[in-house]
Amino acid sequence: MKKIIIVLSLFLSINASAVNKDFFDNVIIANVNQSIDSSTNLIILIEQGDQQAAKISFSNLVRDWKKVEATYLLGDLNENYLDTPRYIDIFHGNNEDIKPQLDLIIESDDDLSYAIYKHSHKTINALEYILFSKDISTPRVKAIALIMAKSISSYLTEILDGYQTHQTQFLKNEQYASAILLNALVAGTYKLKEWRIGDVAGLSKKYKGEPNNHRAEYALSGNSILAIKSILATHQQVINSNKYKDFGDIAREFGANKEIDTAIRNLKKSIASANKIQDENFVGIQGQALYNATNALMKSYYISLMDRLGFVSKVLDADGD
Amino acid sequence: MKAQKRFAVSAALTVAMVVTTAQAFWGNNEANPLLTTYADIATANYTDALNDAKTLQTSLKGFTNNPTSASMANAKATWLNARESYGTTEAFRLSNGPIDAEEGWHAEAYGAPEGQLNAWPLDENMIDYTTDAKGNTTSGNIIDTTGMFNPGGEKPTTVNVSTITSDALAALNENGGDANVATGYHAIEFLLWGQDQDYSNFMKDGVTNGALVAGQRTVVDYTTAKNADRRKQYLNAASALIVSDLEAMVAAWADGDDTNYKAALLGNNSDSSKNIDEKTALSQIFSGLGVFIKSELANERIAVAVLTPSEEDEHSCFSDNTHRDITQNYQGFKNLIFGTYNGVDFGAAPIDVMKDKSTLMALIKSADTKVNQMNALAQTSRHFDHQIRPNDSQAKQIKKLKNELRSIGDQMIYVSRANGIDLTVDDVTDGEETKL
Repeated sequence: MKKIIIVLSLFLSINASAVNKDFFDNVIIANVNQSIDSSTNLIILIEQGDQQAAKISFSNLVRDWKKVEATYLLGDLNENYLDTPRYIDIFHGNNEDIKPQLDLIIESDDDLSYAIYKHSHKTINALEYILFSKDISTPRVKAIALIMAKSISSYLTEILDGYQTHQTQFLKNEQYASAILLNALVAGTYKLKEWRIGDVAGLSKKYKGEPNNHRAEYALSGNSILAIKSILATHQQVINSNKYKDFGDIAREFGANKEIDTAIRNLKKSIASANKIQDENFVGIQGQALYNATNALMKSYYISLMDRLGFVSKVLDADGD
Repeated sequence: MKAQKRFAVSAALTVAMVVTTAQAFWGNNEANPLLTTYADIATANYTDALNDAKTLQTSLKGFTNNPTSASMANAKATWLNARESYGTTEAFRLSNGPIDAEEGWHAEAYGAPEGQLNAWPLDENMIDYTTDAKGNTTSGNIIDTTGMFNPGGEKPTTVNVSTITSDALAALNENGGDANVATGYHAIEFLLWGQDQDYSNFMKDGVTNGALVAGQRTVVDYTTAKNADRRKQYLNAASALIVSDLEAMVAAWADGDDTNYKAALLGNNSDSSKNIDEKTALSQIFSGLGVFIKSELANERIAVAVLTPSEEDEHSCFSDNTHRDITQNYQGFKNLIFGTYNGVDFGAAPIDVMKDKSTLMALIKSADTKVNQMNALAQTSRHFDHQIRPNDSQAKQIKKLKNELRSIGDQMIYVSRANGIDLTVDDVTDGEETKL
């Protein structure tokens, strides 16, 4: 496991404006609201016992949750929210194999109120296993799926409340807001290229030369490329929108025209490469192209843009384990 | 232990280092006062830990010679007491010192016994019977095997346990994998308290029901139960190892020996090739303190337990003494930051020269409050394994404590900078810490 440290100094001499309320409402809040809507819809479909519709709805939840995750800043605004994403998603963050544990819970007759006590048992990863490998017409399985979906929805609502509570804090210190935003982009891009693409395509340090599509984030449900596209679409929201003043506009205000143009170009390449991935197959030339494009995107954030903007210090966990 | 900081600079200790730089800075042959304080606290703390371990050993001999409820209670009391002084010594870990150095003359000379003293978490099924998730009693462990024992795991080697000796236990420790723990405080803890966790679901708490109830092994296991004599052998063999390992630590930190580790740390070893460059020493100490508080204590010992949540991942899961482990580990860190031990000022401290210590002090004050609350509740209301339950209000407080301890670890960057040593966040974080 390798830890990359990025240090980010907080714009000591910069006084221009940064991301503002329009950005906050159009990206941060709108994405959380969309994910809550998706989770609510999924709960309804599970309650109705419509597994096929629930599977489609699950894809929507994956798409919308990845948008929230891609710009998750709340832990930087209040450390009490640092761990909240872990209660929704354990991809690459939990060594335990939850599948046999969930099988035991299904097979047992323990009261579900305490049988599902682990946070990992109520995540989107656990819900994927239930929806795509179990039959929710079985009352106990359906009840388990509902507990999971409701838990995810509850944490998404907690995130929305948190953002609303800390909106003033985010907007008051725009320099800090921009710093943590760029930091989130860098961290997210590293995980995107290394975990979500490199580990699967056999291009990461850990799995060099050992590709395996089963390592993909949502291999069971076939939503892995959807998740990647959603993350990249969120980056588009952050750096290249014409609807509100975004981070790209801020970068230009600070004279980083060349650097942000490069980042946008690499982002477009990444999106184009993601669109070429067929049948969730990351192995081969298409996976390589996507890995290269996202690697270039990360470098354009991490090296060029940060350097140009005077960002010098902040920690970024970039776990290559 | 799971979290092991591998220092790129550790090799520096193995090569000849000349102390001319230190002498030029501090003048004459005076050792750096920060290192002197650190080393003197180590001397005092390891001496206390050894004495408490000897008391434990004596009580275990008394218990095994005459196993009664009273002598068993006394053995448990001495184990709990021994954990107090050992707990503060853990702050000396991860600094390339004699307790857990991975290479160098001192690793060889003192045996780096941390993994033999305090390995955790352990697979208790390897030691003695438990009640499994289906309610069945397990077998095939060291206690009930009377010939060659295969610990299982990855590339295990068999060991003759016809008689349970210190050598046999040492050969079995971490043989086949990190969880195959046969020695140390926690092996003894299991043999005194027994299983507390309900493996089928810790929320059910069906093995030893109650928020203030720890493991309930009875004295019968040492009187009329099958293999009672082997359990006695085990306790005595394991306690002998603890004592011998701590004797090695006391020797490493003893005063008046110009050949030991303390002399090398202070630049006074008669073999000048063993003397440690002052900046290297300080860097490793500050880095080690940061890694210990941030990655080992906050992450491995608190976060894993509370964020999972998992009783299995609390530190002293048989005796429910985890609240004291956390308290004493944290106290050990503070001892070295403030240069004090048992309320006595030992001299120059790292925090002394910090111009702005307000952030660090605020974090410590807040963490103190949460540690005190965790202790108070563990004694009167519910043990740590109940405090981490998902719906317990205390779980949020313990998560906050975890976050504060991690921030305190990051503050070591500023502590070290104030003392002329540059560290990065990477230096105070174990790159292999558990990701949650």
